[in-house]
Amino acid sequence: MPHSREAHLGVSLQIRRPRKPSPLRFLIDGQKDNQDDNLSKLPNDILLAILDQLDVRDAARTSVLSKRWRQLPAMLSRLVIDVKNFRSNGAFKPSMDALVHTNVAVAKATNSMLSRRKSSEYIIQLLHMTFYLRDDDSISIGRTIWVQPEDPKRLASMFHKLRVVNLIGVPEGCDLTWTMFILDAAPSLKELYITFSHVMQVWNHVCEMKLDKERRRFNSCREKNVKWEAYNVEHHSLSTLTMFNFQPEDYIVRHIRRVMEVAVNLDDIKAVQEARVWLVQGQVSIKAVQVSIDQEAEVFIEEQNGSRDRLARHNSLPCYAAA
Amino acid sequence: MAAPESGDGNNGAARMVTLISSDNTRFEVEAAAASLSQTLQLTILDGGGGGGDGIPLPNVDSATLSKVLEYCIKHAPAAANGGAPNATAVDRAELERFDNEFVNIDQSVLYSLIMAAHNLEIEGLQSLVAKKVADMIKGKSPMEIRRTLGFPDPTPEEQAEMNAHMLEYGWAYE
Repeated sequence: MPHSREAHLGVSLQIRRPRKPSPLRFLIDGQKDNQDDNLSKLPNDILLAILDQLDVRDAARTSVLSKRWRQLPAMLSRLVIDVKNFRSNGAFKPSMDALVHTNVAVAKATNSMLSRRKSSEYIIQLLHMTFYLRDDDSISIGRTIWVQPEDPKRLASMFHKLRVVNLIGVPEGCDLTWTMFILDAAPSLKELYITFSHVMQVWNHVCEMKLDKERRRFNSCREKNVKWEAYNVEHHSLSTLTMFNFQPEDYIVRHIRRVMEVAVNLDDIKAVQEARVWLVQGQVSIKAVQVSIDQEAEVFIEEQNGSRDRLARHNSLPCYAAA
Repeated sequence: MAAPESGDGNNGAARMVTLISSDNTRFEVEAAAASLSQTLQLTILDGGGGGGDGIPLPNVDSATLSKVLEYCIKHAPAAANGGAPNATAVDRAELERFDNEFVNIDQSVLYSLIMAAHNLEIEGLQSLVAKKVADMIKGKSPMEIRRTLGFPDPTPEEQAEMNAHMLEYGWAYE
């Protein structure tokens, strides 16, 4: 039964740029291949649309076909690299070895796909990575995602235009200091979103027996929050920090303070606890919490219970922040 | 009295437009079906394509165009409903069955079709064919992909390149 051991963290990195004519356009003509196959007569846009339908492993394999196909993966505007694509066939047994192995494969694939994009001619619209987040060494996420976390400058060429970062499914209680690394590597970042997942709550209900042991694991994770090196450079671009499924816990508030110190132009912090769904009990209970944080980082909370309708509305509402 | 906004007219007969393939065959279809093409939509909205005029499509031959129109005619009612909201599960299942059957065709026809869908900007058809071609690639080894897609067998030189490449992309083969 998969539970917290399999909790994974999705990272969506969206790189946005003002609209301009697709750089692929001019490639439509004049692409000559010596192959006899008819498929290669199609323009790059179409071949890329086909590759878009494939998972990253299948897409990478097509580049074996010819010189022309070799160039295509580096032109993809959407890169989705998911642990699910790297599980060995058959039932996935969540052993520690398997998790490590899969994470390594994701890192390799990401590295390999990104290293082929030397020129900035093709814009990455979306880079989405999913990997397993292990509660007892969350810091290794850094090493997993960022190929060389000790040296963000190496990534600067890749991420210097990054405008929006979404961190999805961060387990509650997990270290946040590593997110500072994103600020370091992405000086143009304007919006940072963090969504916490309630793995622990759901999990507790599923498997009461192991509760204490797991809780201890989560707590130990919480204590490791200080390993990331102090970040001393000011970040001038970040203007909004948004957290979903927010819990007003000390380590999060501390993290917010840290971001506020660094991001000198940060003018909007939104924290929303949206909806909690207690799966096992079969009932939906909703707490909408609006939190406003001023410069002294005072946390102010309101709770309310609502119906399903409210849940829907809350999800579509922009979350609320007051100065 | 306000005139109805709809282009369907008052008398129940749907407005027709004429499309002319590269080999000069004329196809008369309902404007609603032809409007699945983003490229044609504006012309049709402007009142083009009616009467004896017709809209020339110099990039699409008649065999391909008739196939494209078969798709458009089938999908036009659902598209007119703004996609799915009104569609019943039965309707959707029927469209899905049609789609599966529709792309069960020769590769060369498939490629002409995706090219036409691309030029005419028929989003649904583009992704339907792209998905079909992707399905032919999924989970296959490089040699299987080559054969499926009709690539000639590699020369020894190409084989060496392929091997080097497979080493480089080791993570895609594990």
